[in-house]
Amino acid sequence: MTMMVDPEGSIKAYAPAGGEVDDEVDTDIGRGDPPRRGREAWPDLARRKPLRRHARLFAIRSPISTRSRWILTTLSVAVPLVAWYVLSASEIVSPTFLPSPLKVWAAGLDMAQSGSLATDTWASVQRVLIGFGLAVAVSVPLGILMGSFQAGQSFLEPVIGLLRYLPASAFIPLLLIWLGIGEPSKVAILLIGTVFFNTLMTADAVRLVPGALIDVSYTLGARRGEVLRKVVVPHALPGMLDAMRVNAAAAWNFVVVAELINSESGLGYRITRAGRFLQTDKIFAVLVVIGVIGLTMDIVLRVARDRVGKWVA
Amino acid sequence: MSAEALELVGVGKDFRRRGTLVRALEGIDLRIDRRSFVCVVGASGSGKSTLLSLVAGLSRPTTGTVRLDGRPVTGPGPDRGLVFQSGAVYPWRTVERNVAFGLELLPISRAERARRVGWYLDETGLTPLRHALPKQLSGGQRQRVAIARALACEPEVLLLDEPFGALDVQTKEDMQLLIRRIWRDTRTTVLMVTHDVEEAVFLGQRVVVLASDPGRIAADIDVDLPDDRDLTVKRAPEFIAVRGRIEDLVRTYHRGQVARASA
Ligand SMILES: Nc1ncnc2c1ncn2[C@@H]1O[C@H](COP(=O)(O)OP(=O)(O)O)[C@@H](O)[C@H]1O
Ligand SMILES: [Mg+2]
Repeated sequence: MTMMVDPEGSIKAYAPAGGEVDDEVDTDIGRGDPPRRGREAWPDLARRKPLRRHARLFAIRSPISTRSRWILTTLSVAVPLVAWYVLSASEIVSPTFLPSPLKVWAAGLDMAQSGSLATDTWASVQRVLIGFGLAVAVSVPLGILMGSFQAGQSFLEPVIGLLRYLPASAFIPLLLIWLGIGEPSKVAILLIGTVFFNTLMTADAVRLVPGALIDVSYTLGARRGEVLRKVVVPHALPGMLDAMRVNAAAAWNFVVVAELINSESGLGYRITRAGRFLQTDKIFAVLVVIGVIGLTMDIVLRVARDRVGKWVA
Repeated sequence: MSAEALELVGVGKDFRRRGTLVRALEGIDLRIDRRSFVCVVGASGSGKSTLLSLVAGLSRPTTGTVRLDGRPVTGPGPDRGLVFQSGAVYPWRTVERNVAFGLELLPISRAERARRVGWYLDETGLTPLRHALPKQLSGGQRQRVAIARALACEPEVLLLDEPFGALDVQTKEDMQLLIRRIWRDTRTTVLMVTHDVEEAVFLGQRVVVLASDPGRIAADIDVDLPDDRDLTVKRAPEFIAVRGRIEDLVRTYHRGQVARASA
């Protein structure tokens, strides 16, 4: 191969005529290899039309203005509310089936004034606090065990992985036989409904602790217990709170279901009773309360998580 | 007491990966003097990290023994501080509390702890950042935290696993100067692993070249440069000569491995 500087000063490489090849083979990659051919006959690579720019509102992950955010948030609540109002006011649907928002408000106010709303709410909340509290108390240590030790994983994963697919409501008859119709059976349903998922999700959060962080802790003199307490738990805490947030919502669902079946108090009980007397306005009012309490619980846990997880990048 | 801080005798390490045996290290004999600075260079996969984790006690050798001050290493401990390439700082702890981690495990007073943490923060230039969280730090600053945290335990040996591998060239030079100053100020024995030959020659009094597959010592070269070095030494003819020699060795062993792998 010869190199020649042409009058313009650019360098061109020529393959020698006749296609002879240098007999000295240089193994240095990029120096001795002859230039590769084969692309000359290719047609030009197809191109697409230049892309159209999307409005910020419709661009993936693009932040939108505060104003747009507020408008959309308001609409999110207002649209269903207006639809409800229109549907009930036009009386397309019979008022017995779909009471107007105003009637629901009045029914709610009525229950609030009589004090039954507070009693029922507290009864349900109390059950969630006890049932889900127990679930957390059991599942967090189990999850840490599973996420930290292969032995714990091998021993617990198969059985918990299976148990979580048994619906808690399917246990209701059994629990009534075992525990009677009092509080224990309701708390047990909440426990069964949330403990397995919370264990597995806690274990997942614990498994995300980087191995290097654990290794480096040992080289800094930490013992096993200290590694768990001072490294594994703090690192997994935001993830554990995420798990709790998801499962607290499930617990709140389960309590209402449990009270629907059999109870003398609670929001679920109130719904069943109102249903017996075709008081759809009361049912709607209780549903709204259930939603609002659930949302409040979620917001509280989210704020707690954001505080605890300030350090998460 | 012997002059060696660290001694590896006939050290080998095998891994079993999906049924096949991977020989990561074989027949490593290495003596490292107290207060010396030794660099290990080798291509990626030559067993550098494996070597450090054996010395740190995070894994056990398949054959041979590792001794620190004549006593066999049986597990990890604060007498051998380790710094990973990733830094592995605690993201929920501030800079100051990262550095304090090892000291919090010891029966010393709060004041004593604060005094020591303060000294290492100063030494690594982190004092202005003492209340920052790791997510607010650059890669180089995070490595400083990891180094200060290991030093605070006053290890016999400081083990560095490609600590500057992910840094840009300028930051890397700052860190090289920093590690030289730390070595001068604390007189800690340093065993550093890197794939950057220039870095190894600039920092080390000795450079050990690892050949790959299985990882073994291919050469052990004394760097005859004054211990008191600055960046200008990188332009000195002696520096360039040693560096060239080691680069050729690394290249040769790397080529050999590539040729065998594709054969
Ligand atoms: N835990 C492990 N399991 C299986 N193989 C491993 C393990 N750790 C390292 N190895 C293998 O050992 C060899 C050396 O790895 P390593 O020490 O990480 O090299 P280096 O740090 O020089 O890049 C590589 O072939 C790697 O695949
Ligand atoms: Mg490595």
